[in-house]
Amino acid sequence: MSPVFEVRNLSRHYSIRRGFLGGRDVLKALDGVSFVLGKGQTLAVVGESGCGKTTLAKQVALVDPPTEGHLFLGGEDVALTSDPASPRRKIQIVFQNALEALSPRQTVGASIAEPLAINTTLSRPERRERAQAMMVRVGPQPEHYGRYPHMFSGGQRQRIAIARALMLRPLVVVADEPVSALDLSVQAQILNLLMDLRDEFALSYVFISHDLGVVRHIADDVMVMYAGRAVEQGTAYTVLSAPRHPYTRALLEATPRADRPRRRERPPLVGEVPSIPPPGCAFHTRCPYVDNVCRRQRPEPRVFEGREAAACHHLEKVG
Amino acid sequence: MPLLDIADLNVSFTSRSGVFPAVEGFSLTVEAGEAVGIVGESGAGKSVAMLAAMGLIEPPGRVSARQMMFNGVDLARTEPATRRRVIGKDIAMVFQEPASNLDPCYSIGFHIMETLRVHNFGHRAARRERAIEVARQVGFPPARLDAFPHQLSGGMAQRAMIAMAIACRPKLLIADEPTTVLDVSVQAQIIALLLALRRTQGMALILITHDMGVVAEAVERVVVLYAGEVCEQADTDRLLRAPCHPYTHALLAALPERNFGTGPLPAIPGAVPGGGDRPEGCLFHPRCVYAVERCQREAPALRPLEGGLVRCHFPVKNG
Repeated sequence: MSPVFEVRNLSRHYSIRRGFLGGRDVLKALDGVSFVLGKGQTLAVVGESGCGKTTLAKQVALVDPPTEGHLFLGGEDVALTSDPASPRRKIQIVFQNALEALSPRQTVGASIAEPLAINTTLSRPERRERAQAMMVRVGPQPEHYGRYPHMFSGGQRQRIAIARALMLRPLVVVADEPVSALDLSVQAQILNLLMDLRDEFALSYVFISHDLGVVRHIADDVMVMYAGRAVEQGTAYTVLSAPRHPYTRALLEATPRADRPRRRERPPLVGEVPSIPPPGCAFHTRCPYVDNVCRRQRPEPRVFEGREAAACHHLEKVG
Repeated sequence: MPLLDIADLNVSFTSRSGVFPAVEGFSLTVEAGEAVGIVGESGAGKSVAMLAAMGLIEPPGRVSARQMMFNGVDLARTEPATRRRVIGKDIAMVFQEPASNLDPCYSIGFHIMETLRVHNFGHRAARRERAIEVARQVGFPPARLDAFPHQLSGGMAQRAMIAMAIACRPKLLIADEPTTVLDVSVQAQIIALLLALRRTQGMALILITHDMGVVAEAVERVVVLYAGEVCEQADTDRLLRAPCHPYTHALLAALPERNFGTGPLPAIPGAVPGGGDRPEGCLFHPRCVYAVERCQREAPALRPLEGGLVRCHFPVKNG
């Protein structure tokens, strides 16, 4: 399958102050991430908060310029383009909280039609007509064109955000935790909608999520991130059914499952993601397989047992 | 005699548009040392029911109950002064967003010691000693007791909340979505902590959650709420394996983890009824695949079935 979207060696570094009079440190929020996305494919990005998921979403959607790296959309490097408006039309983003993403003072119809007002020369009635056609497909009902975001439920608001993202017929949709804030019964509706739209509009998704159950259901490929780097990536089936990186394994183990309760008093992962990664392997402070090599030397990603990349010194040991 | 015995609790809120029944006919008994889960989507009345039990509903909310016996005291009839001696000491509560429930002006140590002071726990040095002791118990580094809420991660702030809650050795801990905003890794740590505390302190636990996985991991018995009413109650294992109420059944079927492959999820159509649109008859009938004419007309009563309770004219037959 020919790739629609290719991300190569994407990094985003932030300069942070060390105390009042101190110098500056570099925080590598995203550090050399690469992936390829085919037409109609979904890549899920998983990891704990602070691992760089949302930074990645922002870079990919061109909301925030990357420090370095390339974003190839249809062969063209859009990371370097001087006019971000043109590629931005083809990469759209859907956020977790639609209520914050939609203007409270704008009717939902106007919100959905706005991308056309900015990017096309269509007349107002034409824009309205197209927005209503999208509402018929995605929701809410076109009769609700003149209502305001607060008048809708969480699920309906997410539909509005999705409808708006699709108005310019994007190739890639970045969805940052699109169903996390929704109730269980509504979550399934929105996931089904996203999967239908993917097939109908030939969309490729970068799907940011912390819910491995959802990821298993929707994703073709998975990238597991830790401290700004991809630690394991490959097909969803390979990575999630036979995880080989100790971090992926611990995340899966930590996810509560309704069909496999364990009632344990010893959690699989202690501590939290460090904001400043330690030297060596960033995960070594929490890893059960840690040894002296891990403390000194950072593992480079390598191809391993059917997965595109895994970054760990002890992949062979994690059997 | 059970530790907590709530019978026929009703909570309603009056607004300009009328009276909204948030909780109707809610009954719950919890034995000493038992762990019970209260599950439901947003607006189901989970939190409101527990806040009412603790006397924390303020006008225009109205609370009435046949009885709310806790440890031999009827909280529904007692003087506010008596109730305040029980609340926070024998019944403690942990809330969903620790950051917004801690006072930003005071250190964590102060928070814990304040709880102890209000409930007359010894002199200052003894309170300080106890604060250090509970901090250790919940895995909060005692050296960080001088930290202020904004300096803590979500997981640490939740540990601080739990330390405050258990400082007076409560007989019952009510945890309202204690892990919802946390990462799965930290969620597993907090659940493990609650289970360990329950065992070592002989403390009863009421866990409010919307996550079936958390329920499976942490509690023995589950109460499912829908639109303010109990629709099913059963042992956790039985409920997850063979749910009797169509709502519980549909909710579990919609879990992505129970749907392998990439087909559409069996979503529940529609949304939980709000204030103005409560249906006649069974509250769930507009969304229920089994609904017949009788369900639109006649509200079902809660009745015993398969070792639990179910509110349905035509319970789902499993197996």
